[in-house]
Order: sequence, then structure tokens, then C-alpha cells
Amino acid sequence: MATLALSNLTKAWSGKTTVHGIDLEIPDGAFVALVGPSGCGKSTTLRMIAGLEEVTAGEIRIGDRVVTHDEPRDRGVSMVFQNYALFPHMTVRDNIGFGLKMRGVAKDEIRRKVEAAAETLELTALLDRRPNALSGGQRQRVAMGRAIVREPKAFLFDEPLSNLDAQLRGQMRAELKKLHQSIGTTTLYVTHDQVEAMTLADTVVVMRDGRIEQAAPPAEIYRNPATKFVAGFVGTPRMNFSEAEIVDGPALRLDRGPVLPLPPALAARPGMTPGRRVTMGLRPEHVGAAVPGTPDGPGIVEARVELVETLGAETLVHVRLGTAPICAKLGPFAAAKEGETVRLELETSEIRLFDTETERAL
Amino acid sequence: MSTMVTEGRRSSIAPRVASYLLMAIMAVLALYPLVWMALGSLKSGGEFYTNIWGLPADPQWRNFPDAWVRGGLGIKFLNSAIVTFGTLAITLPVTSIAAYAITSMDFRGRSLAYGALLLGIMIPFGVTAIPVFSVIAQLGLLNTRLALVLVYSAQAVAFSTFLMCAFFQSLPAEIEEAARLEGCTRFSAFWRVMLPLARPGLAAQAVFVGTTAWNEYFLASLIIRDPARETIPVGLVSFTGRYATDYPALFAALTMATLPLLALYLLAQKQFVAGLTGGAVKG
Repeated sequence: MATLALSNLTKAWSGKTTVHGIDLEIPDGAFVALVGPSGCGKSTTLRMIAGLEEVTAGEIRIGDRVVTHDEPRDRGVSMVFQNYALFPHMTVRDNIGFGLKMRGVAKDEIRRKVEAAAETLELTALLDRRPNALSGGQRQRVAMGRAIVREPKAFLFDEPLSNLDAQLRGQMRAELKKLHQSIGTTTLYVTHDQVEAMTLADTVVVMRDGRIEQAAPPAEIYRNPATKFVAGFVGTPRMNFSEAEIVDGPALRLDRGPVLPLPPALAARPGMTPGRRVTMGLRPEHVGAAVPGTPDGPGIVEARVELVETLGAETLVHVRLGTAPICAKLGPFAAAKEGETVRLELETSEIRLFDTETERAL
Repeated sequence: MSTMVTEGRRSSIAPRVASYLLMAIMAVLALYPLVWMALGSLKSGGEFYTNIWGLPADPQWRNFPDAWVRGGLGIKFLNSAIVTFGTLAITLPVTSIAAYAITSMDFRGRSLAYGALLLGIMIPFGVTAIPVFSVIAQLGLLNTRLALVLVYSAQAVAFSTFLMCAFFQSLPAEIEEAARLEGCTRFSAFWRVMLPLARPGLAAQAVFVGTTAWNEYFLASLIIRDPARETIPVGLVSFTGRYATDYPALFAALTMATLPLLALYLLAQKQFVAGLTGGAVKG
């Protein structure tokens, strides 16, 4: 196990920079998820750490050793690929033991370690099968077995669950979490699935256009996103946004919409002067149905229902406040119909504000 | 209702029957010359002309040992085997490594190298025969089997590398990357992981290159003068005379010359077909 540190890590392809000087330190034993939309540079970053891509500038340190230009085999990391990358001509046993064999480990030792790994991953009965005789989930476990058996300094996962169906993905996610808890190896996990990132990682790093937007624990990322992008990327359904203006109070007037009180902590911030343009963010779970009989007041609004999505455990009701489309997450089978007017209660204490120009949180 | 079902069944059977019919015609076209050669090799000289298309009335099995002795086929088989295996021994490793480098390594001039391969495939051999002969003569390799091995290998390199490139391109890059992370150098990743996976490509290449080298006549007749170093295609000429040709003996010799190729193809058939279709679809 080791810390993994990236310093000013940069990647450029024929003059076009795709990773812009990333700085990141992953403590020994931590589980960090790199998350972001396609093309944000997360996989390129992971591949640079693995040694599969040349580094244009910057430094990679694993433990106390700088490995920026080392060969992949000399970095002491294991990687699990999206398509498993098992060796089709080898049995499960040979696949798992391949790395040990390449490092000259004695045959008895290889057998012992392979069998131990197979037992951990419930692969013992499959050891003499070839990859084409395994299901997707079994192949993924073999790929993990190959990764853990070498006892690497760090694990690198490149969207390892994205080829699995939803049910198996959930199961494998839980197994991955248990595995990390039991072996505690430093892990960097790339995914575009925010649920995987939020459930697995100690720290979530959100990337956009080759830059880190925010690196923080999952709850912090969710509750206090550093930018509008992070706020919109994390959370399903995504956070509601509305362009707004600070008015006297200070309070917030949504464009052609209601005036909402600002939470005291936000109101006390410097720069909350009337006339300032901002973007308001409010998560769908903070927009609820007003309890019948609740008098009009701050945060109580009426809106016409545009769309209702019944998901079973919850009902998503889409309305429009002023010019902004707003999604409200209501209880199961909430009685709302398209075209009707509903009374909603906004939890104004949960409002987040973002600078319209920089999109950074205020 | 039943009429509709019957009609539907009929319409689904018709294309199948047509396709089987087409395949049967193609199979007859491909196999009949072989069958005709084998049948002709069992006829007597007289029967060959009187019964050209039919089965031999009295199979002349002795045509085979006669042709073997008369044509001195033993040494010619050996020469052809040396030339063919020599060519394969150079071509298979050289083109596999070249194709692996072109497909998996990022180096300056990679596109140029790939383009040069295409150029190599496009130039017909007849155009280069005289320069090749001249180079062989200057190297002092005239009348040697080594000359044939070198020229056949050089001729095969472009197409074989191209074929192997297509094959390596069809393998997911992550497999090689996984091997390198697991402790392989570039070469050991090629040797231990990529090359075994490219076996169908190697088999296809072995059949193509082996068949070409085994059957080649023109260059062998130019370079080889000594009957003891002649390959089979050159040796078969001895059965044709200015005024008369002993067709049953020639066909017996041809049948014997074809057998090793048939055996090679049958052995590599499964891999060969996979090799030809490898890379056709994304895996």
C-alpha cells in the first residue's frame, strides 16, 4: 500500500491539452473515485498513472518513488479494465497467476496465492475454465483476482462495472466495497456513474474538461458543490437551477418568478447586494408538496404541473417557476396530474447560489 | 390461415434452396479439377485420351511409383519442403513482429510503413523479376535454394504483414496493456499473450505463403539450373515433351504434389477461416 500523488499532471495530444495540470493526493488506503462526463480526462489520467500513456508534463509519485516515466510493470499497480482484458487463451488459474509468474514467484507460492484469491472471490470452482466459459460477473471477478493476487501498491479501476447489467452492477459494487474494506489497498476508481462514485469512495473527484472541479467526501460534494457543474452532475434527478437576482432583504427573485428568502448563512455573505445576478440551485428532494392548509408564506409557491413521472418509490413532478423548469421529488404515487396547479414548499434553507459568470458556489 | 403458413414456409425455404444450389455449383467448380486430376492419374496413357471424363476402367496405381522415380520427385519434394519451410521460418516471425509494432506501438513513420505495405502488395511480381534476378546473381546466390527462400519471403512480407496487422487490430488493446501491467515487457507481452491469440492469423498466413512458395514456378525456373535443386513445379515440366506429354504420369505427380498442401490446409482449416474473418467485426 502507498500514497498516490499527482503533481501538475498534464497530457496533450498533438497540441491539444486534455488534462490540465492536475494536482491530487490519495492517502494510503483511501478509495478515491474520479468521476465526470465522457471526454473529461478521467480515463487519460488513470492511464497516465498506470504508465499506458506518456505524461506530457508533471509528476506521478507512488509511495516515495517518482514513477512518471517508469514502465507499467515497474509501477507496482494493478488495473481492472472496463472489458476485463482477460487473456482468452489461459484458464482462470493462469490468468490470476500470470503477474506472479512474470515476476518469477515460485510455483507453489503462485498456487497458494491464486487459490486464496479464488476463495475470496468465490472462483474456486471455476479455476480451470477459460474466460469464454464465464459470465460477465465471473469475468469481472477474475479480473479483480488478477489485480489483488499481486498485492500491489495501488488498484486502478477503469469503469469496471459498466459492462454489467444493472442488477449485477449493484451486486458487484457491494463486493468491491467489501473487498476494499478487507484488503485496504489504495484505490483510484474511474467511473461516469455517480452512484458508484458516491457509494464506493471516501473521496469523490469530479473532473470537467481535463480539470478537477472539486475533490471532497461524497456527502460534501452532494451538499456543498463547489461549482454549478458539480451541483448538476451529482444527484439524480439533477439539481434545479434558476437564474435569479438578489433583491432587498437580502432575498432572491427568480426570473419572472417568486421571491424567496435567502438562508441566513448565504445572506450574510459579502457581495449579496441588490441587483446582483446569480444562479439558484435547489435539489428536487427539497421541493415538496405543501401540507394542505399551510398558509401562504416564504417558500410556498403555486405552479402548473407540466409532467408527472411515477417511479414507484417516488413521484417526480415537473413544473415551471418563472422561466425555470423545476423538478419536485414527491412521495410514492403522489396525487398530481398534468395541467393542474399544485402548491409546493421549497426548503429555502437548502438553496445554493452560484456566480453567474464563474459558476462557482457563493 | 394454413395457406398463409404454407406460403410463408415456402418463401423461407426458397432462398435457402437457392443458396445451397449456388454453394453446390461453387463446390463442383472448385473440386472438379482436383477430382479430374486424381482420376486421370489412375488411367493408362491410352484410356486417358479415350475416356477423358469418366472413371478409370482399370486403375493404374503403378502410375504413382513410376512418376515418382521417373521425375526424381523425392529430391524435388525435399527441395520444395526446404524452400517452403525456409520461407515460412522467415515470414511468420518477421511479419508478426512487424505487424505488432505497426499496430500497437506509436512511432514516427508508422503510417508511412503501413502505406509501404500496401505499395508492396500492389506491385506485380513480373515487374520486379529482372531486378530480382540481377540482385540474386550479384549476391552469388544463383542456383541455390536460399535465393528462393529469400525472394519468396520478401514477396510474402507485404501481404502477410498486412494480414497480421488486420488481425492484431481486431484484438482489444487492453489485453496487451493488461499484460504489460502484469509484468511483461513489450516483447514478452507479444510473445506470451498477443501471438498465441493471433494463431488464426498465423495459420492463414502459413497457408497463403506456404501454398505460394510450394507452387511457384517462374522464379524457380529462372534461378535454379541444377536438377538436384529443382523444386516440384520445375520438376513437373520433365513430364511434358515437345511432341507428346505423359498425362497420367504428370497427373500422378501433380496429385502427389497437391497432397501436402491439402494436408496443410485441412490441419489449419479451422484457424484459417477464423484468420480470414478476424477483424471483420468489432469483438
